[in-house]
Amino acid sequence: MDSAFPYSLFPSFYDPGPPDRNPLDLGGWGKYEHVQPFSVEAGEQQEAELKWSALKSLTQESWEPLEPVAVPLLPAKTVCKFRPVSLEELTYTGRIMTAGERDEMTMGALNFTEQGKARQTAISVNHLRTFTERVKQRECPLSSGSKRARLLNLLLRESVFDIPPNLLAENIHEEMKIQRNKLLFDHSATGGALVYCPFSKGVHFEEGCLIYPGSESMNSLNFRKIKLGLDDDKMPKLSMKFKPVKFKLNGRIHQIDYSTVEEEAYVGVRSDYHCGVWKLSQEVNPSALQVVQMANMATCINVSPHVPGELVIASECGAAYLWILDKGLQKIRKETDNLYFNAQLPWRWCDFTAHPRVYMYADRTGLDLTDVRAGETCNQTLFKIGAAADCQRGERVILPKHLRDVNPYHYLITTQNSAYIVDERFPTVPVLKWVHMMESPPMFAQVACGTVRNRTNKIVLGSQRAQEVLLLQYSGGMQLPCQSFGPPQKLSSIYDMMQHLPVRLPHQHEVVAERLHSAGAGLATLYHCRGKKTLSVFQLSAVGDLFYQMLVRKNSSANGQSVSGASRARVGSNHEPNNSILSKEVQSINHSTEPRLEGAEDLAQGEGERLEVNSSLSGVDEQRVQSFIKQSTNKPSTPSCAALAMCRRWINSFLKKQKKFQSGSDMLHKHSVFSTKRLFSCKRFKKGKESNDAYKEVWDKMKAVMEKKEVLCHSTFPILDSVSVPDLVDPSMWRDELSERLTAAWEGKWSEWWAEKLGVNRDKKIQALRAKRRREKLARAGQRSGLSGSFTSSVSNLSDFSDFSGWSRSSVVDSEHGDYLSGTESNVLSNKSTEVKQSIGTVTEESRQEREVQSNVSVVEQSRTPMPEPILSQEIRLVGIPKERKRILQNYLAALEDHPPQPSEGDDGISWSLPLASSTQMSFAEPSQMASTCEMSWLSSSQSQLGPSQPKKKRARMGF
Amino acid sequence: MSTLKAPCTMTPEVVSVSACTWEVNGRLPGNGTLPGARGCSGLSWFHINGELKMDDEVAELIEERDHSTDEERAWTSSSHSEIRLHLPTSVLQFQNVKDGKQTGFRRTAQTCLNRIHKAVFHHQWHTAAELMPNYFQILEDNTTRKQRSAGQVIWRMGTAILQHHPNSCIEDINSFAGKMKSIGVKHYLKVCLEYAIHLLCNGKMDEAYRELSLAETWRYGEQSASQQKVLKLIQGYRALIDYYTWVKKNSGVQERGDDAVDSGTAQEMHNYFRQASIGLHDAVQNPGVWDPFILSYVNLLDFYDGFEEALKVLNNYAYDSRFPPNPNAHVYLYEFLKKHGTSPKKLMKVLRVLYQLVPSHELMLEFNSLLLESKKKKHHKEALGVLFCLLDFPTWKENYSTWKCLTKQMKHAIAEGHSDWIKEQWELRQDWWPAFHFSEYRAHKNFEENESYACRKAMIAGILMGKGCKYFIIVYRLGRKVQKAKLKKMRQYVKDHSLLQLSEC
Repeated sequence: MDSAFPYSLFPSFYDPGPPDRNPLDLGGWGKYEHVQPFSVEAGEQQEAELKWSALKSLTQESWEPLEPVAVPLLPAKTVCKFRPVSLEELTYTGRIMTAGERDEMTMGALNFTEQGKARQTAISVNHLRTFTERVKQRECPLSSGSKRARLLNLLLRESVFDIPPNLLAENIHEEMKIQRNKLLFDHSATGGALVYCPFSKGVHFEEGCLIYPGSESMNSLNFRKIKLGLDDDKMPKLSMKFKPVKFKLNGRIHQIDYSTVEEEAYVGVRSDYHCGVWKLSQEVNPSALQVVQMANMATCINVSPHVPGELVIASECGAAYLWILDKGLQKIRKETDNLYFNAQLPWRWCDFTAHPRVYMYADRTGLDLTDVRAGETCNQTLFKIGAAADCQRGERVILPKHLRDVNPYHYLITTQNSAYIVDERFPTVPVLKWVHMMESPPMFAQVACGTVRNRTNKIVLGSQRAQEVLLLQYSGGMQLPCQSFGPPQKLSSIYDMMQHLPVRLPHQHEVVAERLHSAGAGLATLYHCRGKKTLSVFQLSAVGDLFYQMLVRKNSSANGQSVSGASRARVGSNHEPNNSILSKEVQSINHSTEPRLEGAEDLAQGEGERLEVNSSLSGVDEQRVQSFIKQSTNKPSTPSCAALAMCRRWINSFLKKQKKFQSGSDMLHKHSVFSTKRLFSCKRFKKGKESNDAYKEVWDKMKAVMEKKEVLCHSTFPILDSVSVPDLVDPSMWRDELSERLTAAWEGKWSEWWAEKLGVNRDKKIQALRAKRRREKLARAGQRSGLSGSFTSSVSNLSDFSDFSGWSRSSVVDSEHGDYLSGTESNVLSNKSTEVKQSIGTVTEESRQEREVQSNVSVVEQSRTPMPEPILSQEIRLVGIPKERKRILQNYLAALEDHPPQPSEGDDGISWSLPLASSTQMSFAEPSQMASTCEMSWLSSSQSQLGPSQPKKKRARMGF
Repeated sequence: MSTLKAPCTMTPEVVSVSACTWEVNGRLPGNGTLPGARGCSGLSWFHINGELKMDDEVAELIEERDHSTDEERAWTSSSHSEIRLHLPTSVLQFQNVKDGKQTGFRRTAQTCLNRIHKAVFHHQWHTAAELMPNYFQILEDNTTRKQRSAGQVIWRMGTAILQHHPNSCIEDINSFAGKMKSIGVKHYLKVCLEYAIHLLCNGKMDEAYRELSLAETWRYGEQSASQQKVLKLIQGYRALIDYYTWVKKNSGVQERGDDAVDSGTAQEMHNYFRQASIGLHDAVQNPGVWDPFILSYVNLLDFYDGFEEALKVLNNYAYDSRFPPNPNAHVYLYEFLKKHGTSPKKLMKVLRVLYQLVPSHELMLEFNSLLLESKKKKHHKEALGVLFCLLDFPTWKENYSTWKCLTKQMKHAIAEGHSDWIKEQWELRQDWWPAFHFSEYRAHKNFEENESYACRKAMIAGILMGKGCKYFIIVYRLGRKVQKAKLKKMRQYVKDHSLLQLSEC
């Protein structure tokens, strides 16, 4: 019967009080702890019946992983947008030196050899004055990296800071400490955000729903059907073929809990300030039912296993509520202080108990049972940190869990050191205790129970930071007292995958390692106890990766660990099968292995690897190695091909995502500069001098030239033979494809050439053209009046060709447009030119106020010929240019005016526009071939588009 | 210089170097050679306050690590972190702090231990056994404290490995345990006890008895509190074995018949009784859970007509406030009293206490029937309450006989004109029982599984919530097709006696 209480419990001392001094931390190895006899009723005689059984029994179900590592369940979906700060970085202990403390600074005054430094450390009073004037304005007057800022900082010290540096430093220290503690332990993830909800179980298959958060900020809730079946080799296999149902929430999901009541699963989801409920069943897709918002940070959500649609939630202020769907919240309890001693910790937890109206309320100091029927006073201690539970000092409750399906009277409680099973019928004294020996406290736990009586229940504990997974087994709690089975077993952690991966580039390796090291966020188990027994463990990491590992029950050696009474008898039978496999595999080792075929194959591989590992260790006794190999292969140590493929797939997907993201962020830092300062150092030449006289000569000459501050060329440095510059190659001479490609490559347009050639960018080009046209059309209306402005900007805006072309194109568009209105282009265009003139007039009117340009403007106004008008507009534009440069520009433009190009009316405006374009682009260098070709090509392309109307258009421009 | 050797034979195919042969060349501190307990320095992390700078803090952590028994571990300070946690070693490795005590020798040993732990965690017993001999060099450490703790580590890890290693045999464990007894006076008793338990689990009661008696008589200096505890346990277990020997002898005597008992056998029997009872008596004095000891002790006393004494022991076990609230204490008392034909009133009293402690206990059915047997109305009312309470618990939810009892008693109460008793119980539960017991889903399911059970439940639902409740309607609809007459009758009954009816009146 389910409700039976063990008739005889294991003996133990009871000592209520604070915990003792911490004993030596030895872990829970090699201890029976307590023992009691059980008389087995079958036998006649007393002696045969009596069997002693220990609290920590040695017998155990032996579970072996199918793969030596946890395998990714899904390809990576997210990428971290920034590099997470590591624990080591936050725990720097070296002395942080401020500039003032630096030794060189104090020495500086006496060290005359470093007088040059004075220049570096001095700052002009003018700067100081402007700075102090500007410092009243809120924005920072200096860029932080500048030398001047550093110097000012040294000089002014604390006087200019809003927050005194000492205080600021203290606060930063504090913040770092908080961040570090958060990295070590973040209580918001307690309970875990991953659950597996089984729907139907058959002998060889099982179907259920995996509920997990996804996306970068872990705010999308995924419901995904998964199926456990057998593959062709009769090995259990998970299939994830179904599409997930997704819900987008507006907060990071911290905890997911579910309960199946009356064949409908209720799923509670907790984020920082919201809790929500979903309902699903095998047939019906999940649907959101209700959401509540909390004023304080929510710390817990649990779904009732008794009554459908009931949940409990707790928040940091210490309040716990019963949440009945459609009825709202009902306060169960509120405690402002901690339960058993003043630990001043805000974390609270609550859960259901065996009685639907009694609730468990917990904080870091212990657990309490609250009976809401009898009002708030009816509380009973269930567990408290203290000597009764044999706690250590500093131990705190990390995760309490009601073991609903396993035994409704039982609770699993984890602390930093131990895991306890507590029976609510016998409060305060744990019925079972393990020292779990995990590095970081177990924050996630799942307990799976078999269906048969006298089953062993499996506890899987998962920790947050180190992502360890531990398997514990126990039984009892009904007729028989609780007994643990076998020592704890560690399952492989996510990071173990690393050693089986192919070698990658160091930075990729680093990124992958960092990713695999990210904290845990949840743990789920799928225990299939019919047919071939399997235990699948799913792990969720804080960045949203899902991993799983599958364990299978090894049947032959269930009794393997009990020491039989007969002396000299080999204990345990699991060695024999091993040996037979070993002998078998010696033959099979040479065969090309198709892993997953048989356990033996995997074993063979493992053997090989081990051998390699050991032979690589120098100085290891050969015999020892042999014996070691012979004995120590219990497990396959290399993952199967399928598993490796999954791993590789995951890594590739992750690296692809990472790269994509990085290429985006690298755009910002593209212009890296290489220092060539030390490329030809003096030392090298000196070295050369020693070896060869010729070098010395060169060196001396060079030195001489340099002393004279002359340019090192043939005339000043005659030692070198003059090398004639090869003739310029005219690429237009070479018309074959290869040459064209080489030309393109020379100009850095190799990929574009190929794109052009293959027609890859056709669509893109067409689209770009269309978009451009559309844009221009849109811009037309507004630009019409300010056309001259657009033109001038195209000239002064030094390299901006597109605007220029845009202008000309827009005029074309306009002309097309004009077709509709009047029909004759020339007419329209001439109209247009007058319009432009007028607009320029207005601009000049406006700019007359500008004193600097005024004279020029008047000049322009006097000579109002069509020709110099562009210059006028140029001058208007000069307003924004620094004085010195303005002068140069003006000179240049004046020169242009003196020798205007002689365009023939019939010839086009190209030659006219050329100097303008080249002057702007090539910064007053003589118009080079290159620029002109560019110009040419642009013009030719525009020509092709202009078609027959082109000459007229040019004339229009001449009209200026 | 003492040398440990735990010999072990291997299977022939395994090469000559045995995995289990460990040679300890280090010095094991002998029993008498230990200096006085050099107390570990007070744990410094307690004194760290928030004002300290980070580097100071970590420096202190490192210092703490040196002083702590487990040198690889340091803790976060209590100032801001929520809980006390291990700082990962990686944090300390990168620190620029001189760490003089962390010699290469110790680091090597610690690395070795870590690898042993890893192997044991993954149940790779062969690997662990291979590594274990390398760890023995830690015994050559120059501090006594280290040596002492290392001794314990060796004992525990070694035992774990030997217990699970497929090639280990009982002799290995025996000799290992024998050697381990000398790792220090403080641990002698613990080692003995664990070894005795090992023997017991392997069915070697006689050897275990010898081991325990030896340990019981072992004396060395002042005993610490923890040693006292272990000694008490040893005493208790030894007495328990005495008891079982006595039981065995006794049953032999019983078989032969009472006449054949000669004075010698009687004397021997009495000796066992005396030894067992003294040991058990001492063991159960301390607060704790002593179920097997109490059972044996009470049996013994009972056999030798010590009714009063046994009752006293049981009463003490059940009602002494120093003891934890063990439900079994009350169960034993109840059973003892019942066996001796105590009045129902006294039995009820015991069970009432148990009812307060564990309302879901199986004995509550007996409590219920006891209450019903009584003539008092008060008890009948209480009986109804006990049943309702049982049905609150999910483990009793689908218990046919309990529902049957409830039907019967509700009918009885109604017949007696005490519908208010039912109402009183119902008012406590009316907000959740409908969803817990009487949902539509459950109506269909119950009817599928057991028709008469569903009908019975439907009647209760009808009485409690009126004939309009879902459960009743569904079962009625389903059942009408099968047992029309019976259900009609039931409907009529519900119509007449439902609580709604009562409130309307």
